[in-house]
Amino acid sequence: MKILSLLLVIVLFIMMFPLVENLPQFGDPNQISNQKVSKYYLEHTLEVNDVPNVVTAVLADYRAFDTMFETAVVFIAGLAIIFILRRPRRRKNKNGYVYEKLVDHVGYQPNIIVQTTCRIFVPIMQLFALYVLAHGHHSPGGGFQGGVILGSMLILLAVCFNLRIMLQKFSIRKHILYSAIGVLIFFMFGFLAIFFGKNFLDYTYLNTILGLTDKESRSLGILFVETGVAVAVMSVMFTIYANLRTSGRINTAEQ
Amino acid sequence: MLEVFNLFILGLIIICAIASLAVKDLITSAMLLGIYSFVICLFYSILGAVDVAFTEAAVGAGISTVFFIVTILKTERKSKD
Repeated sequence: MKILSLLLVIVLFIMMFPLVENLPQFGDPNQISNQKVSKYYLEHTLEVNDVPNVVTAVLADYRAFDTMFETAVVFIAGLAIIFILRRPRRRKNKNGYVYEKLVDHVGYQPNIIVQTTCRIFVPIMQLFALYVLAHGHHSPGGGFQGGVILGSMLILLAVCFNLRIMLQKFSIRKHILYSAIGVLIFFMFGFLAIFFGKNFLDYTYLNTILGLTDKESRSLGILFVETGVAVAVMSVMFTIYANLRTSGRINTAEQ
Repeated sequence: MLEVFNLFILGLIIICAIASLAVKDLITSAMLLGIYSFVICLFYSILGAVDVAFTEAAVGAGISTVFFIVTILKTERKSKD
Protein backbone atom coordinates (compact mmCIF):
# COMPACT_ATOMS: atom_id res chain seq x y z
CA MET A 1 0.00 0.00 0.00
CA LYS A 2 2.83 2.36 0.88
CA ILE A 3 4.62 1.63 -2.41
CA LEU A 4 1.37 2.12 -4.33
CA SER A 5 0.74 5.54 -2.84
CA LEU A 6 4.36 6.52 -3.42
CA LEU A 7 4.04 5.50 -7.09
CA LEU A 8 0.81 7.50 -7.35
CA VAL A 9 2.49 10.59 -5.93
CA ILE A 10 5.45 10.24 -8.30
CA VAL A 11 3.16 9.84 -11.33
CA LEU A 12 1.14 12.91 -10.30
CA PHE A 13 4.37 14.86 -9.77
CA ILE A 14 5.57 14.00 -13.28
CA MET A 15 2.16 14.93 -14.71
CA MET A 16 2.11 18.28 -12.93
CA PHE A 17 5.71 19.17 -13.74
CA PRO A 18 5.17 20.55 -17.30
CA LEU A 19 2.66 23.04 -15.86
CA VAL A 20 5.41 24.78 -13.90
CA GLU A 21 6.67 26.40 -17.10
CA ASN A 22 3.30 28.06 -17.68
CA LEU A 23 3.15 29.68 -14.24
CA PRO A 24 3.51 33.48 -14.34
CA GLN A 25 6.90 34.95 -13.55
CA PHE A 26 7.46 36.34 -10.06
CA GLY A 27 6.52 40.03 -9.95
CA ASP A 28 5.36 40.12 -13.56
CA PRO A 29 3.49 43.43 -14.11
CA ASN A 30 1.56 42.10 -17.12
CA GLN A 31 -0.01 39.29 -15.13
CA ILE A 32 -3.79 39.64 -14.82
CA SER A 33 -3.97 39.61 -11.02
CA ASN A 34 -1.41 42.45 -10.88
CA GLN A 35 -3.31 44.66 -13.29
CA LYS A 36 -6.70 45.40 -11.75
CA VAL A 37 -7.08 45.54 -7.97
CA SER A 38 -3.46 45.37 -6.85
CA LYS A 39 -2.57 48.23 -9.16
CA TYR A 40 -5.31 50.38 -7.64
CA TYR A 41 -4.11 49.59 -4.11
CA LEU A 42 -0.49 50.36 -4.92
CA GLU A 43 -1.29 53.63 -6.63
CA HIS A 44 -4.00 55.07 -4.38
CA THR A 45 -3.40 53.81 -0.83
CA LEU A 46 -1.09 56.64 0.18
CA GLU A 47 -3.42 59.42 -0.95
CA VAL A 48 -6.67 57.77 0.20
CA ASN A 49 -5.60 56.21 3.48
CA ASP A 50 -2.39 58.01 4.45
CA VAL A 51 -0.84 54.59 5.13
CA PRO A 52 2.51 53.78 3.46
CA ASN A 53 2.30 50.04 4.22
CA VAL A 54 -0.22 48.79 1.65
CA VAL A 55 -0.72 45.44 3.41
CA THR A 56 -2.02 47.10 6.56
CA ALA A 57 -4.36 49.32 4.56
CA VAL A 58 -5.75 46.35 2.63
CA LEU A 59 -6.15 44.23 5.77
CA ALA A 60 -7.76 46.81 8.02
CA ASP A 61 -9.55 49.13 5.62
CA TYR A 62 -10.28 47.70 2.16
CA ARG A 63 -10.77 44.14 3.43
CA ALA A 64 -11.78 45.02 6.98
CA PHE A 65 -14.86 42.80 6.84
CA ASP A 66 -12.56 39.83 6.23
CA THR A 67 -10.26 40.73 9.11
CA MET A 68 -13.23 41.25 11.42
CA PHE A 69 -14.43 37.70 11.02
CA GLU A 70 -10.84 36.42 11.17
CA THR A 71 -10.67 37.90 14.66
CA ALA A 72 -13.99 36.27 15.45
CA VAL A 73 -12.56 32.94 14.24
CA VAL A 74 -9.57 33.30 16.58
CA PHE A 75 -11.97 34.03 19.46
CA ILE A 76 -14.13 31.01 18.60
CA ALA A 77 -11.02 28.80 18.40
CA GLY A 78 -10.08 29.84 21.93
CA LEU A 79 -13.60 29.12 23.17
CA ALA A 80 -13.63 25.73 21.44
CA ILE A 81 -10.37 24.69 23.11
CA ILE A 82 -11.81 25.67 26.49
CA PHE A 83 -15.00 23.67 25.90
CA ILE A 84 -13.11 20.59 24.69
CA LEU A 85 -10.48 20.51 27.44
CA ARG A 86 -12.41 21.91 30.39
CA ARG A 87 -13.19 19.64 33.30
CA PRO A 88 -15.68 20.51 36.00
CA ARG A 89 -14.29 21.58 39.33
CA ARG A 90 -16.33 19.00 41.20
CA ARG A 91 -17.76 15.70 40.08
CA LYS A 92 -20.63 13.73 41.51
CA ASN A 93 -19.65 10.44 43.08
CA LYS A 94 -21.71 7.95 45.09
CA ASN A 95 -20.29 9.58 48.22
CA GLY A 96 -21.33 13.04 47.13
CA TYR A 97 -19.30 15.71 45.34
CA VAL A 98 -15.60 15.08 44.83
CA TYR A 99 -13.30 18.02 44.23
CA GLU A 100 -10.44 17.65 41.74
CA LYS A 101 -6.95 17.45 43.14
CA LEU A 102 -4.64 20.40 42.73
CA VAL A 103 -2.17 20.01 39.89
CA ASP A 104 1.30 19.88 41.39
CA HIS A 105 3.57 20.80 38.53
CA VAL A 106 1.68 24.02 37.79
CA GLY A 107 3.20 25.67 40.82
CA TYR A 108 6.83 24.61 40.41
CA GLN A 109 9.70 26.97 41.10
CA PRO A 110 12.41 27.17 38.41
CA ASN A 111 15.90 28.50 39.04
CA ILE A 112 17.05 32.10 39.37
CA ILE A 113 18.88 32.39 36.03
CA VAL A 114 15.72 31.67 34.07
CA GLN A 115 13.73 34.12 36.15
CA THR A 116 16.28 36.94 35.82
CA THR A 117 16.45 36.46 32.05
CA CYS A 118 12.65 36.55 31.96
CA ARG A 119 12.64 39.79 33.97
CA ILE A 120 14.95 41.38 31.40
CA PHE A 121 13.02 40.07 28.41
CA VAL A 122 9.43 40.85 29.40
CA PRO A 123 9.54 44.68 29.26
CA ILE A 124 11.43 44.55 25.96
CA MET A 125 8.80 42.22 24.52
CA GLN A 126 5.98 44.48 25.71
CA LEU A 127 7.60 47.56 24.19
CA PHE A 128 8.29 45.74 20.93
CA ALA A 129 4.71 44.47 20.75
CA LEU A 130 3.32 47.98 21.25
CA TYR A 131 5.75 49.28 18.62
CA VAL A 132 4.65 46.60 16.15
CA LEU A 133 1.02 47.42 16.86
CA ALA A 134 1.28 51.19 16.61
CA HIS A 135 3.87 51.32 13.82
CA GLY A 136 2.02 48.87 11.59
CA HIS A 137 1.07 51.73 9.28
CA HIS A 138 4.69 52.31 8.31
CA SER A 139 6.56 49.05 8.87
CA PRO A 140 5.60 45.37 8.71
CA GLY A 141 3.37 44.37 11.56
CA GLY A 142 -0.06 45.15 12.86
CA GLY A 143 -2.59 43.97 15.35
CA PHE A 144 -2.24 40.24 14.87
CA GLN A 145 1.54 40.14 15.20
CA GLY A 146 1.53 42.55 18.12
CA GLY A 147 -1.11 40.47 19.87
CA VAL A 148 0.86 37.27 19.33
CA ILE A 149 4.00 38.88 20.79
CA LEU A 150 2.01 40.12 23.81
CA GLY A 151 0.54 36.63 24.24
CA SER A 152 3.96 35.00 24.07
CA MET A 153 5.12 37.50 26.70
CA LEU A 154 2.37 36.24 29.02
CA ILE A 155 3.33 32.64 28.20
CA LEU A 156 7.00 33.39 28.98
CA LEU A 157 5.94 34.78 32.37
CA ALA A 158 3.86 31.67 33.03
CA VAL A 159 6.73 29.35 32.03
CA CYS A 160 9.45 31.14 34.00
CA PHE A 161 7.46 32.04 37.10
CA ASN A 162 4.25 30.45 38.18
CA LEU A 163 1.08 29.81 36.21
CA ARG A 164 -1.01 29.62 39.36
CA ILE A 165 0.03 33.05 40.65
CA MET A 166 -0.56 34.54 37.20
CA LEU A 167 -4.03 33.04 37.07
CA GLN A 168 -4.80 34.33 40.56
CA LYS A 169 -3.81 37.85 39.51
CA PHE A 170 -5.57 37.73 36.14
CA SER A 171 -8.04 34.88 35.98
CA ILE A 172 -9.02 32.95 32.88
CA ARG A 173 -12.49 34.46 33.05
CA LYS A 174 -10.93 37.90 32.65
CA HIS A 175 -8.90 36.63 29.71
CA ILE A 176 -12.04 35.36 27.98
CA LEU A 177 -13.73 38.68 28.73
CA TYR A 178 -10.77 40.56 27.23
CA SER A 179 -10.81 38.50 24.05
CA ALA A 180 -14.53 39.20 23.69
CA ILE A 181 -13.84 42.90 24.30
CA GLY A 182 -11.20 42.85 21.56
CA VAL A 183 -13.65 41.40 19.04
CA LEU A 184 -16.31 43.86 20.22
CA ILE A 185 -13.99 46.85 19.68
CA PHE A 186 -13.69 45.83 16.03
CA PHE A 187 -17.44 45.31 15.63
CA MET A 188 -18.22 48.55 17.49
CA PHE A 189 -16.04 50.68 15.21
CA GLY A 190 -17.78 49.06 12.28
CA PHE A 191 -21.30 49.60 13.59
CA LEU A 192 -20.65 53.20 14.69
CA ALA A 193 -20.26 54.08 11.02
CA ILE A 194 -23.87 53.05 10.40
CA PHE A 195 -25.14 55.42 13.10
CA PHE A 196 -23.31 58.29 11.42
CA GLY A 197 -24.90 57.46 8.08
CA LYS A 198 -21.82 55.91 6.45
CA ASN A 199 -21.22 52.40 5.14
CA PHE A 200 -20.27 49.59 7.52
CA LEU A 201 -16.57 49.89 8.53
CA ASP A 202 -16.13 53.19 6.69
CA TYR A 203 -13.89 55.05 9.12
CA THR A 204 -14.57 58.51 7.73
CA TYR A 205 -17.23 59.09 10.40
CA LEU A 206 -14.37 59.81 12.82
CA ASN A 207 -13.89 63.24 11.26
CA THR A 208 -17.31 64.36 12.47
CA ILE A 209 -16.32 63.45 16.07
CA LEU A 210 -12.66 64.42 16.15
CA GLY A 211 -12.51 67.02 13.44
CA LEU A 212 -9.98 65.33 11.16
CA THR A 213 -9.66 65.05 7.42
CA ASP A 214 -10.85 61.91 5.63
CA LYS A 215 -7.28 60.65 5.20
CA GLU A 216 -6.41 61.05 8.87
CA SER A 217 -9.63 59.50 10.11
CA ARG A 218 -9.08 56.40 7.93
CA SER A 219 -5.55 56.08 9.29
CA LEU A 220 -6.77 56.46 12.88
CA GLY A 221 -9.61 53.99 12.34
CA ILE A 222 -7.09 51.38 11.21
CA LEU A 223 -5.15 51.89 14.46
CA PHE A 224 -8.29 51.50 16.63
CA VAL A 225 -9.33 48.34 14.85
CA GLU A 226 -5.85 46.84 15.09
CA THR A 227 -5.86 47.49 18.85
CA GLY A 228 -9.00 45.38 19.13
CA VAL A 229 -7.36 42.57 17.16
CA ALA A 230 -4.26 42.71 19.39
CA VAL A 231 -6.27 42.50 22.64
CA ALA A 232 -8.33 39.57 21.34
CA VAL A 233 -5.33 37.61 20.03
CA MET A 234 -3.29 38.19 23.22
CA SER A 235 -5.99 36.83 25.50
CA VAL A 236 -6.85 33.90 23.24
CA MET A 237 -3.19 32.82 23.02
CA PHE A 238 -2.79 32.84 26.79
CA THR A 239 -6.13 31.05 27.28
CA ILE A 240 -5.06 28.26 24.92
CA TYR A 241 -1.69 27.94 26.66
CA ALA A 242 -3.20 27.82 30.16
CA ASN A 243 -5.78 25.23 29.13
CA LEU A 244 -3.19 23.00 27.47
CA ARG A 245 -0.76 23.36 30.37
CA THR A 246 -3.24 22.38 33.06
CA SER A 247 -5.01 19.94 30.68
CA GLY A 248 -8.29 21.71 31.35
CA ARG A 249 -8.13 21.78 35.15
CA ILE A 250 -8.01 25.54 35.01
CA ASN A 251 -10.36 26.04 37.95
CA THR A 252 -8.24 24.03 40.34
CA ALA A 253 -5.13 25.85 39.19
CA GLU A 254 -6.70 29.14 40.12
CA GLN A 255 -7.26 28.22 43.76
CA MET B 1 24.36 34.39 -5.82
CA LEU B 2 20.72 34.89 -4.80
CA GLU B 3 19.70 31.89 -6.90
CA VAL B 4 22.11 29.68 -4.96
CA PHE B 5 20.76 31.04 -1.69
CA ASN B 6 17.17 30.39 -2.84
CA LEU B 7 18.03 26.81 -3.76
CA PHE B 8 19.76 26.30 -0.41
CA ILE B 9 16.70 27.58 1.49
CA LEU B 10 14.24 25.53 -0.57
CA GLY B 11 16.35 22.41 0.01
CA LEU B 12 16.45 23.15 3.74
CA ILE B 13 12.63 23.44 3.79
CA ILE B 14 12.23 20.01 2.19
CA ILE B 15 14.86 18.44 4.44
CA CYS B 16 13.19 19.87 7.59
CA ALA B 17 9.74 18.71 6.47
CA ILE B 18 10.90 15.14 5.77
CA ALA B 19 13.04 15.00 8.91
CA SER B 20 10.16 16.08 11.14
CA LEU B 21 8.14 13.18 9.77
CA ALA B 22 10.97 10.66 10.02
CA VAL B 23 12.18 11.42 13.54
CA LYS B 24 10.86 9.14 16.32
CA ASP B 25 10.97 11.62 19.19
CA LEU B 26 7.98 13.96 19.15
CA ILE B 27 9.71 16.95 20.77
CA THR B 28 12.49 16.80 18.15
CA SER B 29 9.78 16.68 15.52
CA ALA B 30 8.12 19.80 16.96
CA MET B 31 11.45 21.65 17.04
CA LEU B 32 12.11 20.64 13.42
CA LEU B 33 8.70 22.06 12.48
CA GLY B 34 9.74 25.29 14.20
CA ILE B 35 12.94 25.38 12.13
CA TYR B 36 10.82 24.69 9.02
CA SER B 37 8.58 27.68 9.82
CA PHE B 38 11.57 29.91 10.37
CA VAL B 39 13.22 28.93 7.08
CA ILE B 40 9.92 29.53 5.27
CA CYS B 41 9.81 32.94 6.99
CA LEU B 42 13.27 33.67 5.49
CA PHE B 43 11.96 32.68 2.08
CA TYR B 44 8.91 34.95 2.39
CA SER B 45 11.14 37.89 3.24
CA ILE B 46 13.31 37.14 0.19
CA LEU B 47 10.15 37.24 -1.96
CA GLY B 48 9.29 40.64 -0.44
CA ALA B 49 6.25 39.60 1.63
CA VAL B 50 7.58 41.05 4.87
CA ASP B 51 4.23 41.09 6.67
CA VAL B 52 3.61 37.41 5.99
CA ALA B 53 7.17 36.64 7.07
CA PHE B 54 6.61 38.46 10.36
CA THR B 55 3.38 36.58 11.01
CA GLU B 56 5.06 33.28 10.17
CA ALA B 57 7.95 34.04 12.55
CA ALA B 58 5.61 35.04 15.38
CA VAL B 59 2.92 32.38 14.96
CA GLY B 60 4.53 29.46 13.13
CA ALA B 61 7.97 29.48 14.72
CA GLY B 62 6.99 30.98 18.07
CA ILE B 63 3.59 30.24 19.50
CA SER B 64 2.68 27.03 17.71
CA THR B 65 5.98 25.37 18.70
CA VAL B 66 5.19 26.25 22.32
CA PHE B 67 1.70 24.76 21.97
CA PHE B 68 3.10 21.59 20.38
CA ILE B 69 5.67 21.12 23.16
CA VAL B 70 3.18 21.81 25.94
CA THR B 71 0.80 19.25 24.44
CA ILE B 72 3.53 16.66 23.87
CA LEU B 73 4.69 16.95 27.49
CA LYS B 74 1.16 15.93 28.51
CA THR B 75 1.19 12.74 26.43
CA GLU B 76 2.71 9.37 27.28
CA ARG B 77 4.52 6.86 25.13
CA LYS B 78 2.80 3.49 25.36
CA SER B 79 4.80 1.43 22.83
CA LYS B 80 8.58 1.09 22.98
CA ASP B 81 9.64 1.13 19.33
